[in-house]
Amino acid sequence: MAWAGKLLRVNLSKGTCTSEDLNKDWAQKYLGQRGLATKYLVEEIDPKVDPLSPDNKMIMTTGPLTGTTCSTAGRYSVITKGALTGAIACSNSGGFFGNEMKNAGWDMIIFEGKSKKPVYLLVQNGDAELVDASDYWGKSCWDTEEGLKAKHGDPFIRVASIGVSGEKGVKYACIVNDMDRAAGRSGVGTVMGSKNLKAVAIRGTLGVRVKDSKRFSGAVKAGKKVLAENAVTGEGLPAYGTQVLMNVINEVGALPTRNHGSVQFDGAHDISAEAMAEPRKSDGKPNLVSNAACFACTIACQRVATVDRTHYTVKDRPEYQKASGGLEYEAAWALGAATGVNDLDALTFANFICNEQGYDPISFGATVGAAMEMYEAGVIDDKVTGGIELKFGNAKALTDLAELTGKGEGFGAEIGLGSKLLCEKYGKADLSMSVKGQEFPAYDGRGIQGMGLAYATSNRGACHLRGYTVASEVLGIPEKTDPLVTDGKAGLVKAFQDATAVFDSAGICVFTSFAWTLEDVAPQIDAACEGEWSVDRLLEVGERIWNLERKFNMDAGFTDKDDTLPQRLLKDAAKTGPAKGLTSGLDTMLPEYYELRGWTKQGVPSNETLSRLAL
Amino acid sequence: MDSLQVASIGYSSCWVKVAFLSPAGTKKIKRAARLKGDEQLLKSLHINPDKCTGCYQCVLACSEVKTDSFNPIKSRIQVFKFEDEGRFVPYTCTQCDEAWCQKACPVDAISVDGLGAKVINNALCVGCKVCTIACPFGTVNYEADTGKVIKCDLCGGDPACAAACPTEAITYVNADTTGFDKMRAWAGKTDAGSHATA
Repeated sequence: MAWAGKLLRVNLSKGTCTSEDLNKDWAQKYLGQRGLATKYLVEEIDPKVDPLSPDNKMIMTTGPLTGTTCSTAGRYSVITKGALTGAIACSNSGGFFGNEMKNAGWDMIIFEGKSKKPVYLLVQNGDAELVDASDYWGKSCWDTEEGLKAKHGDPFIRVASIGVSGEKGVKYACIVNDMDRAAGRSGVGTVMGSKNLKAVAIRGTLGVRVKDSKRFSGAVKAGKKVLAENAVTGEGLPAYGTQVLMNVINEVGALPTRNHGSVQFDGAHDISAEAMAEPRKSDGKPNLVSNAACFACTIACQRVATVDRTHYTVKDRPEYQKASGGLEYEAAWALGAATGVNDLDALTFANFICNEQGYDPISFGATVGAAMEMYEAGVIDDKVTGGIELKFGNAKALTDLAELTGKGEGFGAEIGLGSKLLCEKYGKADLSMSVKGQEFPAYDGRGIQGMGLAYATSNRGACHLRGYTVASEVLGIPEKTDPLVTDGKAGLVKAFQDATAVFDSAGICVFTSFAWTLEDVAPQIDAACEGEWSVDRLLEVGERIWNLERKFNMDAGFTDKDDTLPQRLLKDAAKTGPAKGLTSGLDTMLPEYYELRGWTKQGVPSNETLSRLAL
Repeated sequence: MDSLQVASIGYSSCWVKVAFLSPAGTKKIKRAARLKGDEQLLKSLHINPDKCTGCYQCVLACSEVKTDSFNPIKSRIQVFKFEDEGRFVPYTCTQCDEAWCQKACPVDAISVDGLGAKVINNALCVGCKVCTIACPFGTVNYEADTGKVIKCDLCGGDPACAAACPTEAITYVNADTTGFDKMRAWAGKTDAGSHATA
């Protein structure tokens, strides 16, 4: 119950699809999705494997609650060794694909090997087959999804695919489902492309059942009520989306601007949620068309938006004048503040291209920001950029590079390396604003100290979704802490990291955690899943998952030296705002964090910790 | 005549016409009971697509009530997404007063309950699918694994979809007032500047 109890193993080298029983003992220890798939990956691959070799595996996985009526329970994750980072990668996506996979009767699909020619996996309930994808190779995620729905004559088939960027090896390619939802970070789409796997198309009609449906129904109802009555999940996110943060984080002095050169952006308002709602001059309509929900989500934070029809990016291209997935905060920041571009329509267009061609707008925008700094410093010139005037604030440079990167062409191919490899290539490694090769998201570790530690210790490289202490340090959830101090942040980061691992393993969206604590989640899991699931047990599961991921990274060759931040955050103080004069206090927080985790001074999980967590 | 009605809206299938000319097809349709005085007013599902976020909570609630599992295809209500416009439209049986599904059923398996809901009697349904063809809206559907048809029955007066909807895009209201929200909105637009309080 809750778990479908089956996994599909797809050997791309041999062209076989086989069904296996899910390891129920592991499910009791790792819950599902992120945790359980990580356990499978750790057991099945050599941590030192080249992420793009056939020996790497890629797991698509749902959680036990995926497909149920629990709010937001439509999530799936992709677990693999990341192409961008070489660390454990776990990218989570919403939309409707996750439910379809679960309703087809699969908790997990493990892809191994490499196909000789491009294929897609077609799953219809218990039937699975690999089908020639030569008609779709070279096509965008949008064309692939529409093409497969038309080919199979079923509009309810759900498709997750890679775009041309994933085929061409852009290091931060995504897997895109439902047109604009994505397993976005760490290059999971790059791994998929390396296996010659273009898409996964699923239709599922078997139904998802839970252990105690009556109790589950009551627990779900209580959970939805908490979300509805919370100011963030009940009002802020539906009305403004994550973009509600743009002006807030700018005020706090933690909006990294122009490749982290400063912490406040003078154009923040122009690219904010408020700006998205303002009627524009040309047609009197705002950028924002409506909000939308992923499967089972009662929050509905997704933005549906349009580009101004008179804007240079779309005026002769009607295919981009339709409504599509609009700017979320992280994308708006990376495409905007990180590059100094304050043209909302250019950002919205670039975001469309990211969705269409399947690559991560965070890593892309941040890499463009780093390239702009190198261009302005004279490290790279027009010859390198192919004539693109790569100055901070140049919207045309941003949108041209978005299209080139989507196709892996021209200087776009170099932007597709990610900031770490790009900056190293031109001898400026210190200009890459990344940890473990993955670019920072939209919070500066000087203005929000906890986030500096969260980035440095994130198992998938710099990331806001492993431990979102912004909730506490800025929004006061579950209680307000001072963003400018390091005191208590080690404990805060650990608590967020462990709890988030549970949310990510259950099949629900981490945004519920603005309103839900594990006290709200545990009754829903307990009513749905075999076994007894208390808050304490879930916390232990979360900590176990965190340590398992850590152990994988250590075995892959990462050390405590990789738990660090770029010199810019450690040495250059913030110049304006509340954090003026501050650098990241990582040196103070990190030893305390290791100790709280039960790790050695070198950041290695001690034997005692491993045995306490039954690892 | 019934067969002419069918032809007039473009159904060309001879099978349908035959079914409509059968004795069952020509029976007198029972009108929905309209209760007066102290008794319960007739209510209907009222759908406002402008409020819908496409979350599928209605779909899940319906399949939960009807099948004790979460399975969108078993839901009697569906949500259609119009990607290019960012619009979502929940869609289910309107409980027509003159129900073509009921008229078409050759075995009298569709009856009207006290709420005006057209209800399938599974003991009588033979899975002939004629009602699925007769329904102009497509809201009666065949279910292969049971060999019966499924449609909305208003959950006996407490529709699960309306209860589950987080945005009040689906409400269960007095059947005589389903257009009032829309009228009010338009009234506001046609009389700009005044603030209607009705």
